[in-house]
Amino acid sequence: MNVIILLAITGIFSMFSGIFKQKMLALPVILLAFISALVLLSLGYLGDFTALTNNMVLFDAHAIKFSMVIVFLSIFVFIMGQYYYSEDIEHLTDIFALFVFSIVGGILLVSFQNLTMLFLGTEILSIPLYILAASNRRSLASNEAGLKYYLMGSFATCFLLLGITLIYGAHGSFDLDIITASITAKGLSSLFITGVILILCAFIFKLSAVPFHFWAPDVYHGAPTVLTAFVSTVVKVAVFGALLKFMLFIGDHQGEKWTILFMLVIIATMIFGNIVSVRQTNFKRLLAYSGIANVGFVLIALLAINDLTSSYILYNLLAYGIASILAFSIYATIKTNTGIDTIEGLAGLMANNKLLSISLIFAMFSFAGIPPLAGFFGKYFIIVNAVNSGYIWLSIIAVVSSVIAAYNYLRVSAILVSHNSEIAVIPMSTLYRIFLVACIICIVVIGILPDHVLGILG
Amino acid sequence: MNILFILLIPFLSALIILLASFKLSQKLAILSSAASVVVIGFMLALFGQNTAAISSIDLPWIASMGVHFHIGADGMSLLMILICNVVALISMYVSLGDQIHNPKQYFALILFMQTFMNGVFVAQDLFLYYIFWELALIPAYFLLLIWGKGEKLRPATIKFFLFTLLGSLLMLIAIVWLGNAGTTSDYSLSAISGLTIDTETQLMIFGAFMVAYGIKTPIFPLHSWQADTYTFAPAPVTILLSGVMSKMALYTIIRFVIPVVPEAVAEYGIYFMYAATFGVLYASIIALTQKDFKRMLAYISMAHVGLIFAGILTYSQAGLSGSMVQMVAHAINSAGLFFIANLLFKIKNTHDIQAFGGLRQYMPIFAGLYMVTMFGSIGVPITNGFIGEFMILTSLYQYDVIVALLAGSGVILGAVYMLRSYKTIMLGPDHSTIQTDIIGTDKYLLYSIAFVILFTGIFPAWIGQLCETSIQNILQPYLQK
Repeated sequence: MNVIILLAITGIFSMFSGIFKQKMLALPVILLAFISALVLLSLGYLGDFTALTNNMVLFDAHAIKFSMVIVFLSIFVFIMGQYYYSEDIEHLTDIFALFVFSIVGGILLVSFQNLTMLFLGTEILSIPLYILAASNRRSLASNEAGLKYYLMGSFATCFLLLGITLIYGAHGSFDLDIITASITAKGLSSLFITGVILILCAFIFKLSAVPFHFWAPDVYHGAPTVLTAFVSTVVKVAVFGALLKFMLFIGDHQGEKWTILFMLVIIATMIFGNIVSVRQTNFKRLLAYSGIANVGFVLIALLAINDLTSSYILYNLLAYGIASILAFSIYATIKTNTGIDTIEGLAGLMANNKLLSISLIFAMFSFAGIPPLAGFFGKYFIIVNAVNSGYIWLSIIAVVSSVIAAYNYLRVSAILVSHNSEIAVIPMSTLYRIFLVACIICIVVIGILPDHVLGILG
Repeated sequence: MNILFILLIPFLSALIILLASFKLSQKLAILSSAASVVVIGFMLALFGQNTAAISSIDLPWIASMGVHFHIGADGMSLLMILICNVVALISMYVSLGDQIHNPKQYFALILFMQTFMNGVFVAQDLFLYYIFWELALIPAYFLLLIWGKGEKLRPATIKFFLFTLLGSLLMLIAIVWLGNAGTTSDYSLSAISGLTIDTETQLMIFGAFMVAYGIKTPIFPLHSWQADTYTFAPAPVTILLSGVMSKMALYTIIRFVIPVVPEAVAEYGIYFMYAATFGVLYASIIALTQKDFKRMLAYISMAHVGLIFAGILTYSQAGLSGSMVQMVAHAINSAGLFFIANLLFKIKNTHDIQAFGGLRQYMPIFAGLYMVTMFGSIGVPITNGFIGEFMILTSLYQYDVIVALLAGSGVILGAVYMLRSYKTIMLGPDHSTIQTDIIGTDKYLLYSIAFVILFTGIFPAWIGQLCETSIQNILQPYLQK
């Protein structure tokens, strides 16, 4: 709870620093706040606010772990963001503030103990994103992305609210503990089941899994790249955190219903994401579809929930997240400097831009799941867990779809080293170079020391 | 002497080359490869006196999964490392003659590839083995992409990567199953060899492994990536791919597959032998029709490794020893042949066999050395190809007559296509404009290759002695049953 207060104040500070013409202060303060938040989370100085919040927010181990990953990935997004927005300095601090508020929403979301908080968290997370998606005001695509995201997001919110209402109707409370007690006493009702399905639909929507994926490619493509990176990494962590918590809550009452629902979603998402991405020519869209495919992969972990599920999910999202932020930031750098946004356009990047190319190759190979990079164990743990729980066929589909995915990533890495054309030297700041190297180191270290990372996350 | 040296020398050299200046890279690369060969020679000498002289390393790595960084070597591993490093040295020397752009990255990648291939041969933990196996692919992939030539280079390279990746994933599934089959997660070879697995499961594991190694070797019908890859790759990389990378798969069958799933090998190995020996015949026939010299060599290589593949699956002392001898022979011979292809390419800037003719009158030394290498590949007595091929064919005959017939006819065809291409290139009417013989590094390298071919042909016994204990250890559990 201390963390939420800290970050909320940071967001407000960022807004005011814009008003008082102290823009340069915003980023250092925000990064400092993130690092202090990480320290607070890892040391457990969270304060006891249970009574104050009326048991609506619960900072248990689950919430702490997910919050840590959210804050950690946010640091990367912000360093990448500083570079990307440096030209559009006009509203920089407002944009930063919106990101920070969104992160606060994410942390509320993973720590919800009350369905009202689930709703509020989702909204605090999403509303800044709608604005941010449209923040590139001169771009038509960005405006389209913002509007589309907002309209579709509202639909999801309707589902979520209706679901919550139905559960309230069945059990007379928003509080998870009271609902659980009520279910034990009264048993499952069809009202409750319908409510759960509606809420799951809202989650699937937020995760951009098939069949509620259709907004994602356009939004990812049109929105500013920083936001795309944020939505496909940090937001996914928050939503998965909430979804896992929700699944744990309905866990005792789940039967074949949820499993079949989930299996269909997973298979459709993985196959759709990977097969459609084969035909993409735009690099950012490729990354968007690969994000969709990865969501399908992570959902597998939710089929067989055990003590380690949350650490496996977090490991995957962390590994995927860093590679994804890296790839998006490289896309943005190339796009702003040369205007290239197609995959074919990347031909010959290696000739003059070694660091950029090597970073991108690391990101691609991590996506492709080549050991010992982070992406390999990210997939490995989830698959092994699924096999041990008896989901053999699903695992085979997952493995096959990840070979299809590997094709996409190899395609990109192969084009980089092509001799046929060259891309001129792209200027990079020292901070950006450090960012690239830090990402590579993270990808390698997380991959080589999976035990230690799982230890921190587990 | 510690086996870790064999990984550290090329790995550290690669890092140094990346940091060092542009001009030094060639010298450093050759120096480091030569040092590796010297070190492995020294290790072999020590091993000959005392088999315990080579110390292994066993460090816990991923404790929760029971994965260890466990490397060690016995006679068979040392032999494979010897091949790997010698072939890598040849490959470096061949690179010297070509004007290679970005030599720093090039040599660093070759050294990384060498490191990871060495890793495959010394890994005693199946998970670690898998990681080395996958890592070895990545430098190969970039070497092909950046320095390869060919119209369809990019699709061919991606095909090569995806084929092997698919095989590797199947292998990974089998490895994970094996690692978790015991009471605790343990991927060490000794633990996995000790498992008792029922026949049906053995069959599935065997199938997964065989598809992976069938792709990597390659055998019929999993070979479709090979011809393009070998043709488009620069000559030094082709030498590494056919000389060492295909041996990674063959070595693993002896090292891991046979001890772990012996019953499946005995019962179902025959099907893979049919496929492999049919592939020998198939590849030989295709080689007959090739106009491109390098592509022909690719198919010849496929025929030879197919024969070794079948020899290993006979699961007999003669078959396994013959396969080891033949692996050494094939590594050297195919390195020699691809080197010759590269020399020919430099003369006329083409691999088309028909473009050449009458080279012998100007290049007697080249013609003579080419002949020795070719005889080695055909398997003429007193060259290195003879003894291994003979042992394998004998063991195949004892195992199954049809297999032996398929393989034997492939071997006969092998003589046809080699001699025919020799006739066209070296004899016949003169199309040549070059009037000088090979000189300098090229000459000495080809002399050394020819010397090794004859030396191992006349004294093949040391290979058998080196591997004898390893092979007995592998066959022991099954023979006792």
